[in-house]
Amino acid sequence: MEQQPILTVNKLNIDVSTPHGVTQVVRDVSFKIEAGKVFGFVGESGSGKTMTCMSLLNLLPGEAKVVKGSIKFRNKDILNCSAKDMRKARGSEIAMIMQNPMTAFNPVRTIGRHFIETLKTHLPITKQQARTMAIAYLEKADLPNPENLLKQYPFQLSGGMLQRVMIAITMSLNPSILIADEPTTALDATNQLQILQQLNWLRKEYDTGILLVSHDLGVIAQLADEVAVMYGGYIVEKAPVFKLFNRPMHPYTRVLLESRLGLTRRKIKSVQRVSVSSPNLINKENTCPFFERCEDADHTCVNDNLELKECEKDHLVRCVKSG
Amino acid sequence: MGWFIVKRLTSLIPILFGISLITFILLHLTPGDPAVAYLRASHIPPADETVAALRVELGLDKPLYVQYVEWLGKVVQLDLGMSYVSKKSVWDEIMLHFFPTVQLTLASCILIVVVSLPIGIMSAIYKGKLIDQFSRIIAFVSVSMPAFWFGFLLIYFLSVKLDLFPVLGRGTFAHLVLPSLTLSFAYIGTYMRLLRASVLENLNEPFVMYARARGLRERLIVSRHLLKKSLLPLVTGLGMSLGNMLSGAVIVETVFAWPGMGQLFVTSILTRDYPMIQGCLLFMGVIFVVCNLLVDLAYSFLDPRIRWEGEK
Amino acid sequence: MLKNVKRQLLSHKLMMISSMIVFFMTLLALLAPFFAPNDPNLVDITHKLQGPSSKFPLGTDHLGRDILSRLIYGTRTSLGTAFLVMGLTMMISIPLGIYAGFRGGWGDYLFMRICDILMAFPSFLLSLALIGILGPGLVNLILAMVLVQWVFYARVIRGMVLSVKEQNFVLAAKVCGTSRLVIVIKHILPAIISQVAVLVFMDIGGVVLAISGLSFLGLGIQPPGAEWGMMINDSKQFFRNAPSLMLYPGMMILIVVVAFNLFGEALRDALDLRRE
Repeated sequence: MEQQPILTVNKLNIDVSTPHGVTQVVRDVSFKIEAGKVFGFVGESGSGKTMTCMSLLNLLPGEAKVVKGSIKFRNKDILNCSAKDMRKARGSEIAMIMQNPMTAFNPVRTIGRHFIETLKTHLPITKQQARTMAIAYLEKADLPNPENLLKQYPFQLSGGMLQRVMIAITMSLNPSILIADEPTTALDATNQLQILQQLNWLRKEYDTGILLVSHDLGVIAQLADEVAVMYGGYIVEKAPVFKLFNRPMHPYTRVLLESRLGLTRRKIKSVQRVSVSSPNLINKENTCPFFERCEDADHTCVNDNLELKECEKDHLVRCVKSG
Repeated sequence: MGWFIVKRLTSLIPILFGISLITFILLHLTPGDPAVAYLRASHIPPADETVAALRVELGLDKPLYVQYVEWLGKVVQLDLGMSYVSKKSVWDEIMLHFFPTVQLTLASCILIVVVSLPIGIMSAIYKGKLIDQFSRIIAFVSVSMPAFWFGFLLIYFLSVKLDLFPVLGRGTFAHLVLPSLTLSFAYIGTYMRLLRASVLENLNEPFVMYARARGLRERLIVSRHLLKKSLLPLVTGLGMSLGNMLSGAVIVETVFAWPGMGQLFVTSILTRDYPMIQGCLLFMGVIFVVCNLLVDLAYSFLDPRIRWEGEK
Repeated sequence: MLKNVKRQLLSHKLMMISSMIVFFMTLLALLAPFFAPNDPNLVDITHKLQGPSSKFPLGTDHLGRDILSRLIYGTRTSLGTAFLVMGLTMMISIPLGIYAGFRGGWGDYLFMRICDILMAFPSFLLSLALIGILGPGLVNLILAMVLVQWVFYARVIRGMVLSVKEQNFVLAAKVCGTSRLVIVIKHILPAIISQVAVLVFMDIGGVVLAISGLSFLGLGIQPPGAEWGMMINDSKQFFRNAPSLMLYPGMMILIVVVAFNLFGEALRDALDLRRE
């Protein structure tokens, strides 16, 4: 059953200007998010995941700029819509939950103020109505004693609770897209599971499309329907989650999967094979970003076109050797 | 909150004790005999028997610790002795000069906040733009400018040449303008930059990003989120400066012949009026400490984290 | 990117200019008799309050003394006093700060309590009071400033030592059984000395301001010596008719303090001590 995607990103390119030159942090990134589906982004830090997320909200930092490509939300062109429209869409249409819940809230303002100001920004309601609503949604997010919670300051709560508060704020405005940037990274294992369950419930209950960003393959495997592996600003492989895990095609994906510490004692040879140097992103046109670290690299990898090719149905790989 | 205040108040006791000790010892560092100094200040030739009689009268013949205890006992009753020069009660003189200083300080504080707050915030938001460059230059000049010179420049150009304000003294509201402008100028530069740095630091905090991601209006983010958090260092600094200014803007008061604490202090130094020096120093020390206490309270009011720590 | 380069060049240029001013002023102070066209203290009432002439390039003051020569000699007083104050302060603060930070214990406790009490007074006023007790004069001014300042610097240096003390190279030296004195001289001192230098140069402008302020109040150098703050004080009765008398010394103070502040800031950036 083909569905109309809510969010379509097409050939997105983002440059960041630094004192040392222009860095190409996101290259030729395309993906779609459908209602009620979870799209996963995996990759190491610096692979361009967070920049992609920020561009979806049109909230790139000053030194970063979208140089090519388009982002379409329903029928709206995100990159070219007015600042006012964009502001209104944030939170209510496209919501985000932050990486580190402990720093995402203003330490000198209570949870209640955070919640109520968000509701009042997007809905024509009174403060009292907003309060009642906040309490209802905090309850839905399994938070105990919500009335008391509203009076508390962020530093009085645990990371897991704050993360659930963020989810509650998100739910209350019923956005069609939720961007979750490393939502579980700062949490311990039990809290991680609860948050993932809540995200899962959110997409089933509200049909929210979720963009889940993580460097943790376990998190992705739990929740995502489709996965994109990012490396050096490129999507190097994109496939439905089971295909990717069962038959990884890009050398980097294979390294990533192998480097996971399994429960069995396997040799760690495969990890040692990968040199530690990070990819050089400055002024590299059309060379495979993984070239320097790749086991299978040879002369055919240089100067070839780097298209994302469909190797089997819905399974796309950006490697000269695949297919 | 209540506990926090009690705790802070008890921590004041050793400091106040230290202040009184230092003030007392300072006077006894005086080269020469205080009794001789007293006679000189009163234009009486210091003959041996007059000095001896005066030593008994002033209690200078007793051991030092007895003198200290007796002095402290009087200080607690607000008896700071009598001026060698004017022969009036030191406490009364201080009270007479304290109000003009309070007036000057408050006017300067208002100026500082009114000027440095908007410019500081704007130069952070428009970092590197014209207003930022402008505030940088102002800040640099203001911390490098000798206050007495700046005061004279203001007098020369605005009072003498343009005849906009009265030159010296205290009286009408117009008298207040130039002294408070001079006094606040040095602080304005500092706080403008302090506020800018504070806002810049907070602008990069994730909570600002999250506020934007929730779709809050930019004006709301600045006024509700950035302002309150960025004000914290300003409050600390301003409180310290408040203590400094209240305990006598010595130079500014001298330049403008403003009859405040600073002038009283300088006059007493120049006339070697030791009880007055001692009384002023003690009074200023206490004012300074009390101001710091108020800052701490204000800080804990603004920053719930401190309040919470205090209650634990 | 271009902006960045421009900023770097600009700060470079500022550094060049400020170091040149600092250098020139130091030279002026050292070689004052060589630069000054006239005797700065020669009173000649017949020439009082004159405008610029070939003999007196900037005119004369109310006692007929050459303003330019007094300005040049004033450099000597202001800079000399400022450096002396800072030097003496450091001679007290560095050993004490290192002792308190490195040894800790009751010595450190006592030191911190003294800090608490001395810093309970506004520092400028405590200096004033000390001068009031000791009597006005240049020596007493220096003494009063050092006695008040050392606390602040010793406490900052103590803090620097505390953070260096916990670093691995010091711990390693300790583990190796290096003696305390050797650790202090070979490891701690070199690690903090550049920070201390920056601190000194960032603050020396403020010291110049404080000295001229105290002189302005008539508590510093006594007549007939030349000092900028005192020159302004001398000229305040005449400033309606002869504003330039007041203008020049103030400009000198402003230039010197701005130069030192810029120099201190440039030095800090050069040593990259700012954490941004």
